[in-house]
Amino acid sequence: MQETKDNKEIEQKDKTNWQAWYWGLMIFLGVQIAIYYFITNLYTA
Amino acid sequence: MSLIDWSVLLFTLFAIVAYGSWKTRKNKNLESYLKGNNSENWATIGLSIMATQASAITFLSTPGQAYESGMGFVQFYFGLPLAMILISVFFLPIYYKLKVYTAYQYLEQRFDVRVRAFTAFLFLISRGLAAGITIYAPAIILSTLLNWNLQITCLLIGGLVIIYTVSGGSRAVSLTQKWQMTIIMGGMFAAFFYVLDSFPETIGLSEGIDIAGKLGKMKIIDTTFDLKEKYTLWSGLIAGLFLFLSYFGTDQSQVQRYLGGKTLKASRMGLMFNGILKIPMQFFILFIGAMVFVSFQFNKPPIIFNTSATNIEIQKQNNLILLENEYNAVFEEKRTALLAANSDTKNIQFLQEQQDSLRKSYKAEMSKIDSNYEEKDSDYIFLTFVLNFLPHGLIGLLLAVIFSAAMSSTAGELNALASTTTIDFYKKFYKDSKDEKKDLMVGKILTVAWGILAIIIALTAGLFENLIQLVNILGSLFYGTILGVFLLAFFFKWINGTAAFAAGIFGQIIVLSCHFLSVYGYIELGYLLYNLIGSLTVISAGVIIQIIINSNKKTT
Repeated sequence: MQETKDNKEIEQKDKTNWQAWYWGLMIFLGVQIAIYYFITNLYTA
Repeated sequence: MSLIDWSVLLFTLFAIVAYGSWKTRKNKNLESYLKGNNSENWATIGLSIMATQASAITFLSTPGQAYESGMGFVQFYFGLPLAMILISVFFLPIYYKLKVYTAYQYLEQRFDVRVRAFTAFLFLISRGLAAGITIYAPAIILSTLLNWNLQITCLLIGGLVIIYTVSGGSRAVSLTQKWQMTIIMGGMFAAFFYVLDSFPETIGLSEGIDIAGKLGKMKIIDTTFDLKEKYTLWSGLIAGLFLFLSYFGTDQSQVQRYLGGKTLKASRMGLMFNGILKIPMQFFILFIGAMVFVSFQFNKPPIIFNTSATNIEIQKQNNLILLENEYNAVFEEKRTALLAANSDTKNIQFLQEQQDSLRKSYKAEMSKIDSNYEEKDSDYIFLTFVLNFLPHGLIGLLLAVIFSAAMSSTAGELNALASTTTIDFYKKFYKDSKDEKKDLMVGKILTVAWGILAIIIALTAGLFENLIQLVNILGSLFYGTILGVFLLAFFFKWINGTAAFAAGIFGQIIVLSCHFLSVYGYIELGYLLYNLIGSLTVISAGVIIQIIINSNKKTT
């Protein structure tokens, strides 16, 4: 019980907007794939 | 190698070892030794995660891969950022909550001791062998090109790693990895500028990219859905996701890196750091390889790159000299065509194909003369460039990069192997003493033992022809099963230990069967798919076995 409580306290102290980080990372991955796809098409056309 | 190269190399290596050992010399108990007293910040964790994954062969082999087959290998990493997110959301909070030393401890709390021992055992097999090859692979390349003694090179890499890993434990591994990663990236940036500098005056970066593109090296994305193709957009996103979820989420060599974080937030940030930087870093290393390819359009490349003393003797044969002369003539013709104002792309592509075909014939002839000749020489390309085109001093730094990469990944592996053996086997099944000093001593002795075993594997690796290839796929052979068990633990709360244990064994048998059917040509499967097959088989089998167990209980 104590460990679960500790963990909740840690989570509550952490004010980071993790949802924004996760979405940002996914968008960054999408942008990279789009750039690589563009480069590929540029030289295989 | 000149005196200045030796000075840079030796100073860099010994400074890192001394720094790691000195900064972490005050380990008092097993917790500080295995988890570094949870004192790492997010940047150290992020760099340490990257350094553990990037072995020396990453920096030797990846540019060679772009030189030979283009930059499509970057797709392999597309699943990584998604894996970082899932680990951050589902795996990390549970590990923190339970305050575990190893990932496998959690499985005992969730299932039973059999499942914990089974997954820990699979980890020890795959990582134990891999640690030896992490040392052997760069040592064989360095000894071939620099005429160094292979045994001494293996002993040097292994010995230095043992010194600071034993003395400072997990914290020493993370701290040295931070500096090793800094040297690695600094060295690679310096190499990149010298690659560009080796181009003729009329050729700049954009012309270089254009040439690489015309000759097929800028094909990055492959959208075809072909199971036989190793690297496509889909295999990277789907199979790659499973591979990285398994590697970063359940492999102790990675779990140990982020469990050393100050807080849950620091560990999460470390994972995000890796998710953001890993793909651009791999792209950059591949891009260096593509630019080395361009440089060798204007600076005559050797017809083969693994020019050991034995190979140089064989190359004196008449038929090989004739092939080499023809190769050189095609190179000159292509060079002139590329420098012409209005170069004909089709003609250049034709000449490149001719050059590739002559290189292939030459290697086939070499194999006929010497059955031990290794035709795959792409791992030697980047180092050949470094030795021939970089100034003295920087050659020493680039060799330090290779040693640093070998040492950083080996250190992470030894540290994790010792933790798993201490926590999941010694303290669990043999002796759970309350004597902190004794536990610490056991942890250190096991680190030395794994280090010596890794060196022995490295020293004997040359006896097994396909060992490197075997170890490359070894991770994929076991990761799928381990991940499947973890996914059952996280997402199928109604499944118990017996079902998970039986499903794990069944999944492992299926993956091994797929591998042997693939080896003997009955089916065609890229090894990345083993991760997907293993995970899905374990999950399906776990669900079915649990349903059977439940129905049997009802009937009785």
